Amino acid sequence: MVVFSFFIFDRHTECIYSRSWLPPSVMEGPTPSAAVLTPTPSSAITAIPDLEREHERNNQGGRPRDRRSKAAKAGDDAKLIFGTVFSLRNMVRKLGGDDDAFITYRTGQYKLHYYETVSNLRFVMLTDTAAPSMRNVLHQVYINLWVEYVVKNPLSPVEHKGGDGVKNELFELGLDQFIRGLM
Amino acid sequence: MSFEAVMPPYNASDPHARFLSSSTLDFLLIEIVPMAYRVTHEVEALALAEGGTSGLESGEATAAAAARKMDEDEERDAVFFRLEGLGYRVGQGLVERFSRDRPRFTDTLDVIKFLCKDLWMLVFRKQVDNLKTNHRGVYVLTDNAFRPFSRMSTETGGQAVVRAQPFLWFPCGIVRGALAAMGINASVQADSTELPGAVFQIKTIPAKAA
Repeated sequence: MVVFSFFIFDRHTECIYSRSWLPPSVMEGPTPSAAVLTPTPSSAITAIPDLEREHERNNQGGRPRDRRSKAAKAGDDAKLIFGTVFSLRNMVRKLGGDDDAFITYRTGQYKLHYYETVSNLRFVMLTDTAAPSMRNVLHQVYINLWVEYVVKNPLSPVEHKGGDGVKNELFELGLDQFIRGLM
Repeated sequence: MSFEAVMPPYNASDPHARFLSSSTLDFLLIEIVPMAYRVTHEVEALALAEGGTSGLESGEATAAAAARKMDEDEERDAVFFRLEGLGYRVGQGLVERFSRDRPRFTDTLDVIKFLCKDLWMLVFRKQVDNLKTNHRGVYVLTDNAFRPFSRMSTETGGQAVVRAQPFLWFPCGIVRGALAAMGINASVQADSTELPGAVFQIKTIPAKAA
């Protein structure tokens, strides 16, 4: 099993933490500009899920994208993921009733796992398609890492504007160990 | 910590058994420091406003600015006294409650041992790791994993040790209060060089000299 990336969204819908476990070389793989210039069907069969590209392909408009920094791209990915899980969650609730929960979806390239806490925190994880349900894992991250190292951390603020206080050493170390233990 | 098994002398079927979430104490100890800062600022603002009304209108702003500038150290001291005072009262109360079944302490070292073992266990759920003394009234208590610091962490280079200092002041007060309740006047200072460790230095003040 491979974990690609992990995101936390707070109740103000802001992405307060994101982390990728892809090796840097793979991350840079096909550059964004190249992907736009040659939107051949074969580009869909890359090893990495590139949500943004998929999104642009769906839009079909394809406004030419300028070269942007990786950080900006990651930010866009986070926004896109939030939009996706937010809509899916609402749709699921509309169809299945308020008690129903959106848990996961998978595409040909990746599987997205979703866990929402009572306090409206949203945990999202992207893995390969063969991965089993990670709901439990996300729950563990919440109770063993988030609550312990962020909520009970005296130096961490109550609101995590811009990811303030989440990116602390203990949390990052714990998360890394936990996720690498799964892989 | 809240997921830890409850220690033996308890009986789940006992309807009178009482449990307390240990997280509540953690959260209280966390919140007490920002609270002290807030209260200090409010008290100061109030004092400033009162002083300002009597003064000249034009001089008010500059006076306020000057007062703000001086404050770095003053603020630290004010918050320290506030937290230390609260801790002092708590320490006194704790000793009153938990030393009642003990024989009288014979000497200072006895008292310090009670502090390191029993009181530390009560408040921080572990014992002090190391106790040193020069036999002339100075005791150094080393806790390699001080509980309030166990989950304290910042980004790399986030000056965690500096920001952790205010969280030592309330425990300082507890120690001083506990010692006072057991008849020892002392000054207590705490320091941390690396999280989650903490070092408490107790200097007893001889009764005659004081």
